[in-house]
Amino acid sequence: MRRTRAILVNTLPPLAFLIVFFFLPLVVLLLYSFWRMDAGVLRQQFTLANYLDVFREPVYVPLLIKSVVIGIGAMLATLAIGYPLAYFIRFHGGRHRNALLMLVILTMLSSYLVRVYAWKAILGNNGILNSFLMHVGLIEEPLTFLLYSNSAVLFAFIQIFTPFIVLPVYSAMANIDDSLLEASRDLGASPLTTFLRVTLPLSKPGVIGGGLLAFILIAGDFVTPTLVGGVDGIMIGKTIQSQFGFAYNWPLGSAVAFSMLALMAVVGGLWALVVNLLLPTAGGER
Amino acid sequence: MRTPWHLWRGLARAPLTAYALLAYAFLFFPSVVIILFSFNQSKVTVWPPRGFTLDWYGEILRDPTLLESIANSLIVASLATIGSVILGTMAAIALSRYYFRGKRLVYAAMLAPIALPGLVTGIAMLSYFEYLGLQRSLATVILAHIVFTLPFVVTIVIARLSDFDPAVEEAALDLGASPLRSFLTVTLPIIAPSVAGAALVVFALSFDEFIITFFVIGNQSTLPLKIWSMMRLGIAPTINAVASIIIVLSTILVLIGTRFVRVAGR
Amino acid sequence: MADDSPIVVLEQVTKRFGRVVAVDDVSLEVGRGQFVSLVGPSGCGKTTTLRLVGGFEEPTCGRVYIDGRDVSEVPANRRSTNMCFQRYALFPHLNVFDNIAYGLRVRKRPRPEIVARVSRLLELVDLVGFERRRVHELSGGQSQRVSLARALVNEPSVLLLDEPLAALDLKLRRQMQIELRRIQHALGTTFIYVTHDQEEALTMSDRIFVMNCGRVVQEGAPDEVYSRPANEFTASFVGDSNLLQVDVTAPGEASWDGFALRIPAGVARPGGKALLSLRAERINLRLVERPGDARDHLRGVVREAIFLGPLVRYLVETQAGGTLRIIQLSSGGRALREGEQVLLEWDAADLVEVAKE
Repeated sequence: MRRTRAILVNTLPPLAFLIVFFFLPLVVLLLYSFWRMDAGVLRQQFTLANYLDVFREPVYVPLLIKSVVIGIGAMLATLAIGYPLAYFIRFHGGRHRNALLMLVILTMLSSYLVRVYAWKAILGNNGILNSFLMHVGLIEEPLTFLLYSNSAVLFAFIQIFTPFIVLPVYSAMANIDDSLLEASRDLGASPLTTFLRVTLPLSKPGVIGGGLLAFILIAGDFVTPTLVGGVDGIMIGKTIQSQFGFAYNWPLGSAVAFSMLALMAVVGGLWALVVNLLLPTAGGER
Repeated sequence: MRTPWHLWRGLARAPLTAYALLAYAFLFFPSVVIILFSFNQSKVTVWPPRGFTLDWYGEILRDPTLLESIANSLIVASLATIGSVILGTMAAIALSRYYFRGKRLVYAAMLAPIALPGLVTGIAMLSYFEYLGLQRSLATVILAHIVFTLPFVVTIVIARLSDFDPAVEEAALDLGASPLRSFLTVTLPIIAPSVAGAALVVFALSFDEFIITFFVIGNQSTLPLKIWSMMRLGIAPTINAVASIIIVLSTILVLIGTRFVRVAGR
Repeated sequence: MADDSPIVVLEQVTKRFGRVVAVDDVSLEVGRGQFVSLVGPSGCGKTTTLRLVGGFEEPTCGRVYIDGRDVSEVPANRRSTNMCFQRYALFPHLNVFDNIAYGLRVRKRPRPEIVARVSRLLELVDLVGFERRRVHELSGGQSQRVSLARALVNEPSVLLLDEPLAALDLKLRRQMQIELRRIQHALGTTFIYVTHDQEEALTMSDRIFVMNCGRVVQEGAPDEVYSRPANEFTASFVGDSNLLQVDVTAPGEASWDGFALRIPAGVARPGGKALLSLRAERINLRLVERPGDARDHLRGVVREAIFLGPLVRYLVETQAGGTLRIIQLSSGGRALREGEQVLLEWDAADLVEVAKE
């Protein structure tokens, strides 16, 4: 049948590619999590020892929790900052909407590493912020707590990942037909009521999706903690990365990674649930 | 005629605009700082900036490993773009034009790489290549880049394909064109702008990609990796210069891209 | 030497999409050079049937023949049919000339021939001078005509039209109906036309196929289908009909809700029931004027009077209990008003027995 052939011709190559280079690698990684690193030698025998280590060793679970907490906190902050911006572009951007959105995208595309590095340069003892404050006489000694701390990591995350939330939220808002707002107005609702009962609920998919994206990217990140976190600002991503680097314990690293994924999935699901509860679809109870 | 609605909206506009300005400043100021200090004569990023120099830009040209990493990034990005765009467009066509069992699953599979943190994708591919005994190199990097950029291509091209009447393709067939000819003379010209836009997006994403690349690369370096090692060694000013160039280049790419991909919706 | 064989034959064709049966065991024949319409409500399968002829769908069962050849497995690009799509489906990246020329370019015709044929078609559809226009600059009517020209450029043996006038306003639609008829006569091409507008089908066609739920429920010439509907569906879908459920009391006589009336001979036997269709315009309404007038006639009260310009539509509640719809020409005098007592009369010969669904 010609239709079947057309479908197969078009779906098989990309699908096969992903299976071979994405899904199978995940399977292999999972396999690694059940193997064991024994004195520098990889033993390919099934064992749950790695997962037990994750839970029993004092270091992993607290770090997982900390990373999730930072992820949620940073994500909420980016939402707080990014949502009004998305709202502005969508409802007050007028003819310049595309350009305004492009500006946001621009910040995302100019090298992630560089943007983290900028924070290093800004927050350091000899950095821009400190030298600026000293230059204007607000302080005499550099503030040493700025860099290499949890707050540095948090702040950098917020600044860097806000655009990641603006886009999905904007996209959901763009789908809100203007006629819905006019209808609401026509029925006598004030702008505030319209926002609460029409715009906000309808922007839900963007809030959920964007929040999820930001959370996953932040919670699992190792670049920012490494560059601006120092010893205090360590996160689980860094631990996983070192297991695949100098610490050289791939099975353990893999187990930690999957534990992290599981935790992320749970948090992600809760996030979707919470947002759905808090933002009823238009028509909530009176 | 000032109805309360207009009044409220007008009142809301001013603070919102002010907020937006602040938000944009918030988003942009690190990049601005970097560009500013790339011209700074002093080696340290201290305020206020002292003197003006193009030395650091010159340093870029004098560093062969840096130049090599740029070349590598260009090669990887180009090849990844070709691969990703071709595979992604094929998937987009199948997903938007046909109904078949398991379509939802295939669609989800195509978008899956986005759902995973780059860290996990990176270590997964690393262990995979190791397990298969495959040598890590620029080739493995290209493969990895195709994987993580596919969802973007699929999304962008599907959006365009759903935008025009599929009857147009039937019309081409009706007039005697073979399916291939219909694709080349009708479908492709119509989706070309979106495909071009997707290509630019892939190129930019690939050029900047660090996390996955970090794990799957061999002995060479791409630009982000080179920057990373420079950061670890603390060679500040040249990084500012490199970073500024990247910022300017991505700006240009995005500006070109806006001509092809309408992001703000209809 | 005229060829009398049908140009398109569908032989027990069924098309299933998953569990949905879009076309259910349809057999039909289309004569050469005819203007034929497939008419029915949304979802009745008429568009799917058209697409089966065009090669855009493969039949699940049954065979499709075009000009004597079994084309059931032949794809659309190799059939001698061409289609005018509902939303025109013009190539947005090509101008008018290139749109029309597309079919010729696919066949690699030489340039002079292409120019000549496209120009002729532009004349035919009255769009001379529009060669360089971009698709988005065209109005609905103009797009429709480009779509038509494009479909005719390959001189197909059968032209398929999928509700091509649906998006046009009334006046333009009426104009285009006449245009299409004229073009069809001029070219002698067989046209198969799909529409949900029964009036349109009646206006334009040599032959109508009324479809419902994937089946052809009646076929015939427009006046035949109109005045002698074979079943309940056709009676109510085509034209405006009243359906009377009667009990046959004697040959030629029946009772409708207690009202005795005359019916055509040959309708059922005494003691049986029948369903009769009576066209709204075949009923005559007049005011009750003289006492004693109403003795053998059906009396009623006007419940609704709707002015339609040249016609007036009435809804009358009869003494028998049932409601009848009547259409009358607007006479010079005043129309009847709600609440007025009226007499209804009609010719028994206008009662047509229809099959119950």
